[in-house]
Formats: sequence, structure tokens, C-alpha cells
Amino acid sequence: MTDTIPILSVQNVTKTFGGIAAVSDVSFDVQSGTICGLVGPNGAGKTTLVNVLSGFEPSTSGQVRLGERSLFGWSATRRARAGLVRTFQHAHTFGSMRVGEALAAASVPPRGTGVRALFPSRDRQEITDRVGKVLQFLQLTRWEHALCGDLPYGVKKRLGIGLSLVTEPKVLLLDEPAAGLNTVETTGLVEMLRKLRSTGITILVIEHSMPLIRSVCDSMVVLDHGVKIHEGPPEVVLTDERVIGAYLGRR
Amino acid sequence: MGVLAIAERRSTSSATGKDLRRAAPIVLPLVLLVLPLVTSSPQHHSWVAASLLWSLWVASLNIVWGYVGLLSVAQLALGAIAAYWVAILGARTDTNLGVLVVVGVLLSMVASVLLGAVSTRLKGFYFTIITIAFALTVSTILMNWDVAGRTTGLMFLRSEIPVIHLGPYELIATTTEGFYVLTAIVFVLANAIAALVLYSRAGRAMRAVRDDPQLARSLGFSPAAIRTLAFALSGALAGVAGILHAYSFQLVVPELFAIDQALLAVMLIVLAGLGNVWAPVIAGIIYLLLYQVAPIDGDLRAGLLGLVVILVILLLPRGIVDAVPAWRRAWAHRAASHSEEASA
Repeated sequence: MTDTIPILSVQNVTKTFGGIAAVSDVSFDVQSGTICGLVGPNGAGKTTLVNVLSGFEPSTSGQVRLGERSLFGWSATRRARAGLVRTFQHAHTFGSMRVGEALAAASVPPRGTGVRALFPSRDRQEITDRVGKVLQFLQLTRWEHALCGDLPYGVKKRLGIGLSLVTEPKVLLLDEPAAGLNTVETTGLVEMLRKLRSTGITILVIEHSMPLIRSVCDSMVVLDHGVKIHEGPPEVVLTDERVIGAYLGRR
Repeated sequence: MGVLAIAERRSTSSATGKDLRRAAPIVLPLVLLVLPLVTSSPQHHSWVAASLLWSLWVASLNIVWGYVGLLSVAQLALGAIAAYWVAILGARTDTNLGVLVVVGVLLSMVASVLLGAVSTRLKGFYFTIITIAFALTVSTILMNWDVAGRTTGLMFLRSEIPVIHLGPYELIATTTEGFYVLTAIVFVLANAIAALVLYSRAGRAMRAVRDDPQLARSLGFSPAAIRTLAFALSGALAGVAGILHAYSFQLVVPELFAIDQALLAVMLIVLAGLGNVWAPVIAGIIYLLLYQVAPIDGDLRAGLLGLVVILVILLLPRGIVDAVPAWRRAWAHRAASHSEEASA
């Protein structure tokens, strides 16, 4: 592929639960500024892999690199601050906050959440601006004053992505962003992913919808029973016998 | 990064309800300053002082339970540490009172942080069980330790009643007016601090961790660090409340800081509105009405309070403070739907 160092590098990652491997010796690279699809049938180990990459679960072996840095032993908190930010399959939000507040809250961690955070920050205007831009970008402006807990599911999922965008991530790990969305919302999502890519954010997206994968992904990785069975550009991978077999069932 | 370049226009936000809540730290001192002008009755002053003291306990509990979502029944036990420290060393040494108080508050703070450290391993109810164990341990030690006076307790600073002069007031426990002014000052400061914390970035972080610790971690918050900060503030406040509590009774005894007293703070905060910046104030008013003003027999009070708590949980699950905006919203909603019907 290219000579540049991949922004995200997964090297021989294995994750076992009580002796059973959920992810087994998986390696792949994601190049900066691209969208990589992570697909596979239910139970293939996709979410487990995202949990390992984001630091929510320690890997049993193998390592993850963000650019030149090894993330070995890094907590989820530290990984997020370094720019590796994940979203969740089931919409997570800060239920008691209004949308605008929640987005402003998401801008706190890079400035430190210790004793210093007790004092007013000097860049309030900058935070307001950034929150406003994310609201615009995700078309959440009309929900700004709504309580996160009261939002419709699709909006909640969009807010989930919005929260991660406020942190200015380098790499976004999206766990089934289209699950539970209607067709209009899914079209909006495709559009949004393309725009994000154009701004230089690298995206690893778990997805079930093949049309979505085909239309936005630059590359894709297929997992089955925790093992990587194929990797490459969607137009190549999706015609592969093994992939079709794993995904659609053998004919 | 560049996402932000895509959508350039900035949204303008209006904040109306927010302003009222943010005014709390400014409005409170005014109310309290007016009181001595309205009444000169020592009884009224002592009523209000006792209520303000309970407000302080509630403010301390509000930070750990309301802001970061961990129910603790150890707040009074934490306060006992500071109170007993001051009582024991005040009676046996000539240490400067200011130094004693500061060190006492620090001790409560450290104990609170240590207690909070277990919260990173234990979730929800399990943490509460640890705080029950902590409270019981503290009271068992106090009841069996000779130095702490066992069940009869110790006189609090009887030998050296400190007098602080502030304008026309002498801030001493022996005059109710003096004690009122002292408590009012501490209360105003504590509330201002608690309110400023809630609306600071740290407060946002606390609420984020309370609402969804997983999401908070995924965005780069460190739940452990944020909880530690909350426990430190809450512990310091408990230490201050403990010392004032002992000062008002001129005595430290284990019952003063027992677990049933901690449960009173829990009930008061549920009534007032957990996590709300006004909760300590409302809790103080409830205490004033129910425990001071109402001519009810002591045993009946706890029963009555229990009954009120049940009713409030059933009718206003988010407490009294949140009921007002909720009613206002419902009213606005009704008005809006009426006008829509009219125009249709």
C-alpha cells in the first residue's frame, strides 16, 4: 500500500474470555484519512475488537498502535485523549443534560478534569464555537435545548457521534452507527461520514449494511468467529467466496 | 480539526432557567442578612442556625450523591472525625484553634478521599454498603475509645470558647445570635462553593460521570479522578459541618454523628431535589419547618418525615426543586396546545 505509517495499526490482537477466543490473532492497518469497514456476522468479534482498540477491555495479546505510538497499557481515558475515540452501538448520552450542555461537557477532558477544572477556562468562546459547529454539522441545532434523555433514538445516535467529534478525534471507532436508523437517517449518515473523511478524520466503522459499506468504505476487514478472513477494497472483498459464505450462508 | 470548518455559522443560545439557578450563591446571603433585622428572637436565630447546619450536611451529601451519583451514608461519620479531632486536641493541648480546625477539615477530606477510592471498584449499592460499614465502624470506635469519652462523649472547646469579632456580632456559640451569624457565613460560603463547582467544568465532568461513566471514559474523562475531586470537596464540607455541629451542642457524642442522623440527611435531600444546586437550601427549609417550627413530638417527627418522603417520591420523583420548572413546562405546553387549537 502506501509508505506512510498507518494511523491505526492492529497487530496480532487476541482476546479470550475464559479460554474462548472472541478475537484471534487479528492484524490490519487503517491509513490516515480513510474509512475502513469492519464487518462480519453476529458474534464475529467486531464489538470485542472495538472494545480492545478503545481500551475498554485489555487485549490478551498483540498490540495496537496509534500512528507511531504503542497504546500498550493505556486506559480508555488516555486513548480518548490521544485522539482514539469510540462510539457505542446503543446510543449513549448524558441523560440529565441538555444537548448543548452535553456537547460542552465533552469538550472538557482535553483541558483536564482535575482541580484546574474548578476554575473558569479562558477559552469559553472557543468551546461555544466548537459546540455550535458540531450542532450545525450534525443538524442538531433545533435540539440544542432538549434533554438528552428525551431525544428520539436516531437523534441520540447522532448526538453520540457529535460528542465524540467535540473531542476533535484523530481516529473514530463507530460501532454500528446505522443500527436502528431509518433510511433517511442512514442516507444522512453516509453523507456525514464522507464529509468527516474530507476533513481528515480516519474512521473504522462496524456495519451490517452492505450498501453503506460499499458506498463509503475505502477498505474493509471481514471477521468470522474472531478470525480475519479477508481484507481489501470493498469491490474485491465483497465478491470473495469465503466472505459470501460467511455472510450470506453457503449456497 | 477540520469538521468544524464545514459548518461555520455559530448557533446562538439563550439561557433563561439557567440564570435563576446560577443566582443561588448571590441571593442566599441577602436573605440571611435580612433575617436578624426581621426578628431579634434568640429562638428564631437558633432555629435557623440548626437548619443551616443541616443544609451543610445536605450540601456535602449533594456533591457525592447528587453530582457524582454515589449514595453515601458516611457523611456524618466523616464530619465526626473533624469534630472529635478538634474536641480531643482542644482539650489536651494548647494548639491554636484555627490550626486545629484546618487540620480537622483536612482529616475529614482525606478520609473521604480514601472512602471514595473504593468507589472505583464498587458500583452503586455496593459502595453504599461500604459507607454503612464505615459509619458503623466510626461510631463503634468512638463508643469504645476512652480518649473520645466513650458514650458520654467530650465537652467541645468548653475551656476555650473562641470569640471572633465581626462588626456588631461576637461569633460565639454561647449566644444564639453569634452562632447564627457564624453558621450563616459558613453556609453562604459552602453554598457558593458547591454552586460554583456544579457549574464549573469539573461539575460538568461530575455530571457526565454520574450520567454515563462508560460514555464519559470514551470521551476522555477519568471517572476515578473526578470522583476523587468530588469526595475531597464533600469530605471537607462534612468536616466543617461536623465541627459546627459539635460547636452548636458544645459537645461531641457518638449519637450526634450516628447513622440515623445520616439517614435524615438522605431523606432531606430526596425531598429537596437530588443534584440540584438549591437542594441544600430547600432541605434546610424543610428541616426548619418540620423539626423546629412544627409543634410535634420528637418521635412523631421521624414518622412524619418518612411519610412526606414517601409522598414526595410518589408524586414528585425528582424532588421539590424540580417540581416548579416541571409545572411551568406543563403549563406552557398546555397554553401552547390551547393556542394551536384556537388558531386551527
